[in-house]
Amino acid sequence: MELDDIKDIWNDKPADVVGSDKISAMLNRQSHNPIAKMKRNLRMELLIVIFSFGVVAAYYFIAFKSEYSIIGWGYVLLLVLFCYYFFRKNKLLSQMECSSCKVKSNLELQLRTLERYVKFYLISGTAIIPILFIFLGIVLYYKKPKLIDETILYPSATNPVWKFLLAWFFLLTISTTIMWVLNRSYVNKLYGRHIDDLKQLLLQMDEQ
Amino acid sequence: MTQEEFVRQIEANQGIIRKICRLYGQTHRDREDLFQEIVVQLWKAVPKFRGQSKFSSWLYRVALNTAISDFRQKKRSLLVSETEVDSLEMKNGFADVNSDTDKQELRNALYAAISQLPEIDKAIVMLYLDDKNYEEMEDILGINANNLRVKMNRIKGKLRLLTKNISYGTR
Repeated sequence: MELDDIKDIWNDKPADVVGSDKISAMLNRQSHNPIAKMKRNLRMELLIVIFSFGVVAAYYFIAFKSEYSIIGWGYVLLLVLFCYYFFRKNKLLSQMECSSCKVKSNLELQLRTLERYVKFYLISGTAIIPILFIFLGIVLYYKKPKLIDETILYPSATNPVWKFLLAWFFLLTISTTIMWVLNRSYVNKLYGRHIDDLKQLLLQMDEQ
Repeated sequence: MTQEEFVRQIEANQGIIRKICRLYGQTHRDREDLFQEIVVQLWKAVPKFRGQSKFSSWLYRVALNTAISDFRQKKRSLLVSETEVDSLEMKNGFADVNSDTDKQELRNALYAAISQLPEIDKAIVMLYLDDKNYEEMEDILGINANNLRVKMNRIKGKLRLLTKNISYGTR
């Protein structure tokens, strides 16, 4: 069969024609493409974080006669960091597609932006560990002052500063490294195949 | 472009979208989902349509971008069975294409054969069969026209092999 001989068959009108009513109805539907889904999930995550962190922060502002309001402020600070994280992720997702661009430019854009997205995900997902540990250390310092004399994690008369610094150094290095490895395999599982597929498509486009 | 104008344009050009859905979706459900997704993406992209290119070229871009980037669909389309082509090859080995049924079978065989090509080759062959010249294809796909000519020759060879038992217009 030669392609040029069958153009008439290829160009026959389709049997199943969709009417204008059905097309109009489609315009109100949600997009199901992966980026639209990621954006919706991100919005849901943001709402959950705002709600849960907001409740905890409010609790520390109101309870204990505002004695621990510093912890409340800590949660507010974490919330601000999370909001920045979500804003940045949302921005990257918005830049990820240009459906009216040429197919090759769109694939290149997707690959470039997805790689930046993964990098940001990896760095922020790992950086949250030392931030949370330090935050927890501050919370415990205020809420459980007895701990100061009992653990190596706070400087005291029996625990010199170098020991305290060394303990934190090891704690943060080990936990951050573990988190980095876990995050990297998780991110690869989530987006690795997608990135490989995009690279494969671009290779197909470039090969002669 | 108003919603009414948009719907009219889609109605008039739905043949293009149908062909893309047929090539990139494996099951009937896949094709219907992809058709709806393409319409949604086109509607979202309407504000960016400046009328500098033809509506149909713009439609090809958005529709192909949607179909190619939708990896959920792609994974399914890889499941296209070779037996589909084989059985149709047998049926069409001595096809009398004057009959509507045989024309339909020949078209099915053609779609089944093209579905076996890599994603980008599918798009190229579709544009070729839709009578787009290489400059228009470059404008839609972003692949250099010379490279497209080389690719098209290679694709023709592949399709000749895939459809070696199908004849057109002969007994």
